[in-house]
Amino acid sequence: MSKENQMNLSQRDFLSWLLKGGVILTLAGFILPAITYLLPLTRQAPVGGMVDVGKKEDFPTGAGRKVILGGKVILVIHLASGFRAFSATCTHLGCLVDWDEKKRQIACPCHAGFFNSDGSVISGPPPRRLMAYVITVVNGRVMLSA
Amino acid sequence: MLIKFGALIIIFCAAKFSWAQIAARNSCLNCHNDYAAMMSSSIHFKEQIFCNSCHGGNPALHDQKSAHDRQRGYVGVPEKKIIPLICGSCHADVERMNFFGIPTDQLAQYRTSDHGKGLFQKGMTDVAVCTDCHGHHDVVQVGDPNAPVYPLNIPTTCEQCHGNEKLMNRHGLPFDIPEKYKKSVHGKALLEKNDLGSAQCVSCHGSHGAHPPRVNNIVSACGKCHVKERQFFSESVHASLAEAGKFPECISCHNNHEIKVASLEIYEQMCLKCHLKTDPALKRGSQILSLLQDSERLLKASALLVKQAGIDGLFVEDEQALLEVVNTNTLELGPLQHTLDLIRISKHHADLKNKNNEINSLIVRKYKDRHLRTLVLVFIWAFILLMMLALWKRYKQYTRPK
Repeated sequence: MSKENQMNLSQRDFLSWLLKGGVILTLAGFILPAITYLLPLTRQAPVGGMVDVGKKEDFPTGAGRKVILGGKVILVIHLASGFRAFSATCTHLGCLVDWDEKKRQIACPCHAGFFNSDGSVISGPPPRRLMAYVITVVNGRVMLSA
Repeated sequence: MLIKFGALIIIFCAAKFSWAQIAARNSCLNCHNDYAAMMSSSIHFKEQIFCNSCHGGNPALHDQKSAHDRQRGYVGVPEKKIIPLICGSCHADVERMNFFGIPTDQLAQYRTSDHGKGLFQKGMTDVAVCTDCHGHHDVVQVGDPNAPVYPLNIPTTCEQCHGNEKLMNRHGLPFDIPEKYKKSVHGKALLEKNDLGSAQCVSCHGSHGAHPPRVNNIVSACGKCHVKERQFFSESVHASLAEAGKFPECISCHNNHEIKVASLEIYEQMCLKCHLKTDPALKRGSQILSLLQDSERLLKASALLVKQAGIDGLFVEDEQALLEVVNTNTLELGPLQHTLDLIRISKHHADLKNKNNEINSLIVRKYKDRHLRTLVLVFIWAFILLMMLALWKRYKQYTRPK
């Protein structure tokens, strides 16, 4: 086998491997999005649907926890009667409110605004109730509507 | 058609009958019918409390002389000094007012007010009595937006007297308070934004027991709404001075009727009213001021950074949420500064700064990630180009003549 043939062969092999690799990568580029589409990846659901914010056990009864959804901070409260979710942004000047587990009230740390567990104003300067979000538990997962 | 006409006749007769019933019990209107329209909208008329409840006399008698018999308790136009007593004859009667759910301590409160003391103790007849604020023949419920004592109308009601230069001069009181109030942050919120929660005259002075808050209970008056400020002020070095009556609390820095939006300029203007420039307390004040200014600067810078990152196409949901935390920290400093506690304020500022740094580092990382992705994209393009060249080469190999 001449030197020219050896060079041609290695060049041919190289081209062959390059094309095979390219075909595999191209196929992967087609298949991966299809798999992603078929699998129910609720965490990656588009804003507007229900978003998984954690396991039910992550929210102990009587406690409140803040989660982030669409750039907004949401206060999730787990009461004995069920879950409730409100925008954590106070309607007065926009401070983030907290759930007071002992008093069973939502309190604003900045200007002493207090809200009921249904989001309505008890006292203080907030002019209106906290915005409520739809929250539900599906198969042990806490789902929040965006 | 006939049914409609019949119904109209019945309604007309019913109205006539009820008016006839009222007229029979309240013959005053036979002669004083010019008051009828005014009174028909009043809460008293609706509750069938008629003229004689305030003016005395006997409305059941149709003879004017007998009805106006002073021997039978006819009062006529009541003298000013007895008006609170006339109103109090019902409104201070617990049994009578119980079912209306109205407080019954108004007369007792009025006696303690500067108005009441002027009337009852000093015999002044140019002080406000019930009818000056509530109206008389056309009195409506306090919750009625047309009531002179509805929150939106209170400044105008008080201004009738407290904006009257001649009257106020007689009592040695300023007459420009209503004008000052209109320019204040409270006045603008109430009168321009219709914010019923905003403070008006009675919020600080009381209504029936109206009198100006004294030096050491100003913080209680302001603290009814500004709860956190009151709490933190009571922990400050100024609190003991206020208790001793040497420091008029909130109004020392914020003024009283002409309260402006609280700004950091207060540190530069008001502290010097009491403190010398060489005073160490003033230095501490300027350190607090620097921390507050820095907090505002950090919040603005972070907000701008997050906004720009969003414009540049980065997903900044987490950073927006963190920004809300920084915003909360900055707003918390508002009431906290009333402690004038440099250590506490410094600690709060440090927390705020940490969160601000976290936002900045997250955004910087996202910009770096995007830069990396751009490099990967260049690599992918290079790969595609290489593939195209390989295919072209292979095509040439197959089409080369043997």
